[in-house]
Amino acid sequence: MTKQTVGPTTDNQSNDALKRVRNLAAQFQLLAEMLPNAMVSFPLPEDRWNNWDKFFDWEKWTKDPWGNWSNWTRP
Amino acid sequence: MSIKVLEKIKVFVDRQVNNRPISLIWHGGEPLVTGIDRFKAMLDVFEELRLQGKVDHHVQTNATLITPQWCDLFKAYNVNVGVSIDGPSIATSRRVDWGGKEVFDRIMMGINLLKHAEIPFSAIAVVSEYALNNVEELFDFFNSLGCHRWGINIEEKEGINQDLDNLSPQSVKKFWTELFKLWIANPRIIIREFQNFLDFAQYGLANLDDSWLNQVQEDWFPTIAWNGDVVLLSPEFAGVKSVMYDDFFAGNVLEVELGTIVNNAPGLRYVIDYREGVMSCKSTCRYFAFCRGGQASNKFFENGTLVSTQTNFCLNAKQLLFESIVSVVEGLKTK
Repeated sequence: MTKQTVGPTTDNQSNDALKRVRNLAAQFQLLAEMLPNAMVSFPLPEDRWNNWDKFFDWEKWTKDPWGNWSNWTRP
Repeated sequence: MSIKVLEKIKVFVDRQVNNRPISLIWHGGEPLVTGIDRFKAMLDVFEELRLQGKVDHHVQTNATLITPQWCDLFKAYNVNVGVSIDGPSIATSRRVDWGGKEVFDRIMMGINLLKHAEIPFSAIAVVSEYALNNVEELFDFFNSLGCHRWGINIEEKEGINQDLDNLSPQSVKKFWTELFKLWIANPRIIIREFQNFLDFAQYGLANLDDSWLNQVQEDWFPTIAWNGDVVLLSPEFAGVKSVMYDDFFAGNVLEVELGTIVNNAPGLRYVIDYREGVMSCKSTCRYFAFCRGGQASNKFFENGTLVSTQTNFCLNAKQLLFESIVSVVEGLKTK
């Protein structure tokens, strides 16, 4: 696939971003396998937002709800 | 905000037929300054509708005023809480109180109260030069913060924010690329920008009918000020002076029904110009399928007119994000 540069074009290429994603279908499939909780089958953003708790790791969160945040340093 | 104004909004919300609740977002300045009793009275206006599933509440706060009493209120009314915090203290140093004192510690105290009360919260960060150059530290911070969702706004010159860092496209692209790599290795929290991209990719891969590209997305996003004045398209237009666009005034809910104000929107000069700008985006920008036409407020503040196309927001938040993710995905080794 030809590399694209950032910026507008003078041609009508409104679906160019879509074509580029489709050209990488195999790689996106691999990504979906790597991120089973982040890429599920066809959720719209609104659906995902309304169902965010399905994607949230409650167990980890409840194990470590506190911390000395005022003196936060990188773990 | 007067109860009279809220009653008018309530009438509008009650008349809507939706399969999901209408979200009321309490924001602008610091909404908790209102005080807990007053805020409760405002929420009470909509309580009947909330219990019917017609409305839900969201608040965007810097968390510095949160007390256990606020937490009780958020729980009682099921308020979705968003906290504005830019990262560890050095990255959040631009958030100061009226006395110029940094508020990072107070934000963290507020967050700890939310966590203690088991109130889920999201975070929105403005990414400036320091954060841009310390991606791993930023990622670790938000992973540890306890938020379930993180939204990232690359710092931009908008409205009063004119004295800001100059962020180079190279550094922004490096930021998105590094962050995406870190995230796919440890996707513990939702990062809004990546999720939006992945949803777009999923949609594009799952649907070969591209007729949706010809539909210009229109979210009127009515923002209602304390006095009932309404602006559309971008909350950033509230209180902004513009002779060309009649201060973005779309109507006042005390004088005209909100439904009528929204229905009349296509006749407003700034909405006409915005639509024209989006159509220009569609015919000239190769990222249109992903971006869908850009932010109205950025077009105005950066380009001086809504009949315009590319902005720094487009570049930093859409184009460079797209290029960064695609470059990482291109590098994935398929079987």
